[in-house]
Amino acid sequence: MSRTKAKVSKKLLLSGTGAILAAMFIISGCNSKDNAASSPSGSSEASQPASEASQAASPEDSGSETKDFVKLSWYMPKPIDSMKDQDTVEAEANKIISEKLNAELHLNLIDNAGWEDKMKLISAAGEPYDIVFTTFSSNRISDNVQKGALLPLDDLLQKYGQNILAKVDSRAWKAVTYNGKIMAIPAQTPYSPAGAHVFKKDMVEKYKFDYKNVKSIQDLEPFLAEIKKNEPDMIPLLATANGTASGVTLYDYTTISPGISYSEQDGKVVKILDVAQNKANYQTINDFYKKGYIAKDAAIKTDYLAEAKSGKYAVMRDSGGYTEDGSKSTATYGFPTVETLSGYPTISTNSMTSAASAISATSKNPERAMMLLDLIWGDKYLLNTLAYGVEGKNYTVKSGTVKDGNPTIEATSGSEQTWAIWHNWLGPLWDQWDSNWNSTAALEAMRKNNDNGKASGILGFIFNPESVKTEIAQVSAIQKEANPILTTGSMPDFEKYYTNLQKRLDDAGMDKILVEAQKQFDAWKSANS
Amino acid sequence: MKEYATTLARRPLPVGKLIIHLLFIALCAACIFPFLVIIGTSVQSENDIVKFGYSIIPKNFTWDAYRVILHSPQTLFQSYFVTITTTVVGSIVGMWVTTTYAYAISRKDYRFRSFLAFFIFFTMLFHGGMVPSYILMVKWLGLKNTMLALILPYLISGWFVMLMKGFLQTIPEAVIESAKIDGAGELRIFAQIVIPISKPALATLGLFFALQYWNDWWLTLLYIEHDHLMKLQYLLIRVLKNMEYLNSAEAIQYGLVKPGMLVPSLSARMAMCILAAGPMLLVFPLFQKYFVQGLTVGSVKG
Amino acid sequence: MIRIIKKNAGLSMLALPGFLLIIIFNYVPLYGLLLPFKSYRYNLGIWNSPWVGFDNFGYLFHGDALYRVLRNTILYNMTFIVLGTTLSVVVALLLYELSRRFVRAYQTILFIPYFISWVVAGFAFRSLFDMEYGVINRFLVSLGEEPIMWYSDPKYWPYIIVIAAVWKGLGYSSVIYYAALMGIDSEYYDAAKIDGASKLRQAFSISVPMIKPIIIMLVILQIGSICYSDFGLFYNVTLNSSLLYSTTDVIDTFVYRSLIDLGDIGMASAAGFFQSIVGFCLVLITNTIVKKINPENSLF
Repeated sequence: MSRTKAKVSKKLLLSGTGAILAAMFIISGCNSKDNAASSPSGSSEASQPASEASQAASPEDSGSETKDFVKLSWYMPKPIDSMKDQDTVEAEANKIISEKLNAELHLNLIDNAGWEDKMKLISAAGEPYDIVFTTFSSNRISDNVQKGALLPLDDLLQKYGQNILAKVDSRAWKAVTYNGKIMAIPAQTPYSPAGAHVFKKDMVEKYKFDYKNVKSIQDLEPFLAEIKKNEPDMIPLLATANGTASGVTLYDYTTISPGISYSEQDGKVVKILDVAQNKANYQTINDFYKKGYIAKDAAIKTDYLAEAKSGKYAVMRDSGGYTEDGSKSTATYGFPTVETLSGYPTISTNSMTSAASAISATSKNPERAMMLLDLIWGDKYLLNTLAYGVEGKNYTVKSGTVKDGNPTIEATSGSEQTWAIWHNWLGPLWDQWDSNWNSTAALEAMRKNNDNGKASGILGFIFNPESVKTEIAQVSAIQKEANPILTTGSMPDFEKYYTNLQKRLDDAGMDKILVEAQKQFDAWKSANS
Repeated sequence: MKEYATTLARRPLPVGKLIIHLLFIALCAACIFPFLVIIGTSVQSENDIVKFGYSIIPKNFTWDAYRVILHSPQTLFQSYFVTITTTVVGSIVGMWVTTTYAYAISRKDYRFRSFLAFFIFFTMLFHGGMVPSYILMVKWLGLKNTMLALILPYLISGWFVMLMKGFLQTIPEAVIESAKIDGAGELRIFAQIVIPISKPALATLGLFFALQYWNDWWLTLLYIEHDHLMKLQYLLIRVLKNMEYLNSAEAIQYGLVKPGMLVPSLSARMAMCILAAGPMLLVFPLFQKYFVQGLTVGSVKG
Repeated sequence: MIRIIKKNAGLSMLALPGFLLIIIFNYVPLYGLLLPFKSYRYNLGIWNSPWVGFDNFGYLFHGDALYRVLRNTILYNMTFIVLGTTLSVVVALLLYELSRRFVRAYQTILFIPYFISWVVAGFAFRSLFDMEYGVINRFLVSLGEEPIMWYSDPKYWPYIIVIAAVWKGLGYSSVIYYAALMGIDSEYYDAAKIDGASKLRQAFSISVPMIKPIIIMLVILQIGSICYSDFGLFYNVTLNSSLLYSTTDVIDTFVYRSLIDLGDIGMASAAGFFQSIVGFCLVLITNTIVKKINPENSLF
């Protein structure tokens, strides 16, 4: 019978989440999925052929660069499943693109269920396409570089990318430079979104809790205790397998590889579990768990947002950024909340590549692809058309005009929404029109936050896991097992669990990874000083 | 005489029968219960699920989940069409190539039977993996975004061939020998003798093929980018994955979830499950009627 | 030689369409079996990517990580083979005793779980085992008992996993044996009845021996996949609770966790290759033994 199952299961019974999709992928010989710190500065043989391709592909064709009409394809995840109106939006955009570049753009939008797997297959099979969305975690840029899927962009940028060069944060180029070559165009995005503690407003008022003075998770204790004592229907603190109180993860440590971090304070490369503050935080969480502040079955919960929205928790983490009046979390969670700032992460290689565009090594028209990207970075109307859609159909103008100046518009949202691409997926976020998605003021705040943000001491350092892959695989497996238990504090004996975890990780080869990371870091440092 | 024996065989043995029935009723309850939970959850609001858990009787009844899914019904109807077409075509063609191959290797007097049996068995354990398959289907055969890509790869598989071989090798050699003596060709023997006496086996195979094609989402994931060619089970996964994605830290951080945006919920998963499995469950008893009849004809062959 | 071909031409022609399909869709992509031994670069293709020997297998055999998952995988599969086969045969035999009307109803209902994907089934199981709202715990509490933390206590899970697997697969596999029973010539039973054999006796002396070849074949095939595990079952029904890993971690969930950060095609293929090789050897051995005893029951 289980032969029946084993056979059938492979395809039929698994029907499931992305996790499973990824599993299928791994099992069948491919893989994807997000990750914080990843791969390589591309061994030289990896990027070599690609660069040759670029030279071959960019002949001296000055003057007649746009003589032949070409079609360009752009692969990108589909932001919403019910996406419609693609033909009309593309027609509107292509009016400009064909006039300026004698080219036509087609967006290949792939739903989230298939994005990682499909993109990996398309690249692995060497299928021709021009532009692709790539980030540190989705369609991973480091994998793509290492496997030779992308084209180096230095020459093309110098020739055709003046708008891009002018607008991209100059620090961000470091994050996409592999072996001295620029491999992607980093988008404008919030580079260090603030972490915050979010409180349910009615609870804070009822118990007159001075939430503004919470500086660390330990400061939450009195409030949690009060809730536990007086509100039997509430759970004091929200923690799930993949999310815990803000500030548990240390802000001044930047991940290099799973379990290995860089200390921004003293510039050392360390095992994160060895950091005293890290241990203390998890111990506090465990203490909260034992005192009943955290749900007993927190470790099997995975939908942080759904849990937060249920309104049965008194303290939650931020919904991706901090607003002084709590408006952001109030809007996202759907009930009145107040927030207090917990900290800012440093700007790291990862946070600067949370959205980027790259040109494929298989592109037949890399020059025109670069020209198109440059046009999008330069032409506000084109950018906003691609993002918001067609006027009247997908958005309405509240004030100003779209062709010149900065209009204020209202994009359709909710169930009427048929077209939406996030501006940072296209590249220039700051050129977004003032709208109900993001006000110009909000964008200005994000931008300022980026400018003032503290860059990590290892910005631009990209760890190459190639020589320690075996160890990383083992460490990953243990970490995936331990993380839900750590973030929810659901272990009976903290001290025993923690030291045992450290030992298991060491057995799996943590020290070898540490040595390798230190070696690569030293080499990088001497090359960059 | 024979008639008498049959009635005797069918005469109920009251206590024994009763126990058997009770056993089956218990088994059936275990199979229906989760299904009721799924139906119940599909008409429950997201908040209630988080607050009160999954349950058969919803606290507050709502059609929201179905509304989310049926928001753009064209995609859903189109996928019913694709699913039904691939299931029908795939099952019929698949049954033919599987049964002919299995029949050949089930014949003890066939010279290449061992080789061909091993030839297919080998594919059950060793696969080239997704990348070579993808290159084959897309680059060499040019089948990306075609309905054929949803049919061809599953037409023959080691598991079904072996199963059929198991059934077919119980056919008495004498039956085939006598047909051979009458001068019938292999194709005629197969079509006129083997097929009619193998109805139980064919009914099983047909059922399994239909289930395979109906439940498949993997081929859509690999080879289909266009909405109008997607199969039902893939739409189910899409709902699941989209929900997971929109609830992810990344999506929240970059403001992808806008207030008022349509986020599929836990109940939408369940609703989609029902919409995907429901039709087959309704069709199943009808199908099974023929399935059992087929068995009847087969079983009285002697 | 020509005579051999000519003599077998009729059957060969019948097998030809299937044969061609197998070559195209199963054998052509087989060059992918090189992947476990390569460091795959997209721009070089599979042939030209550099060889890395057995490096991709390293993570499976480094340390004692494999021991736990291999033990779990094999023990579960052995249980599935023995228990699953027995139960499906029993269900088929019992169905055989009932009239068609009931068979139709029961079989349809037994098939329902087959349509429920493991993800969704995971939720359904949670409605039973949830710590607060689960049916079982609410029942325990109403009896004045302590609720059980199902998802944190590994000791219950070998049973739950096996029940879930049986629950899901019983409808499917019992159909096979039921169909096989239907193919038995009714004269055998007539004769037995005249001899006054009891139902139980008929089952053991006619039914089971008659479907024995197909049982043996299915068991051999299951042995071939003894190193494979149903990822959906172990990942979703347990809600991927890492507190349960000591009894629920199997090869496929382990490989998934190991490679989620690396995304390495070669290492993933290596795991699949290992599973295939073990299964392949076991099937060859079993098949040889079966062939020695009774050549008719062998696979090839």
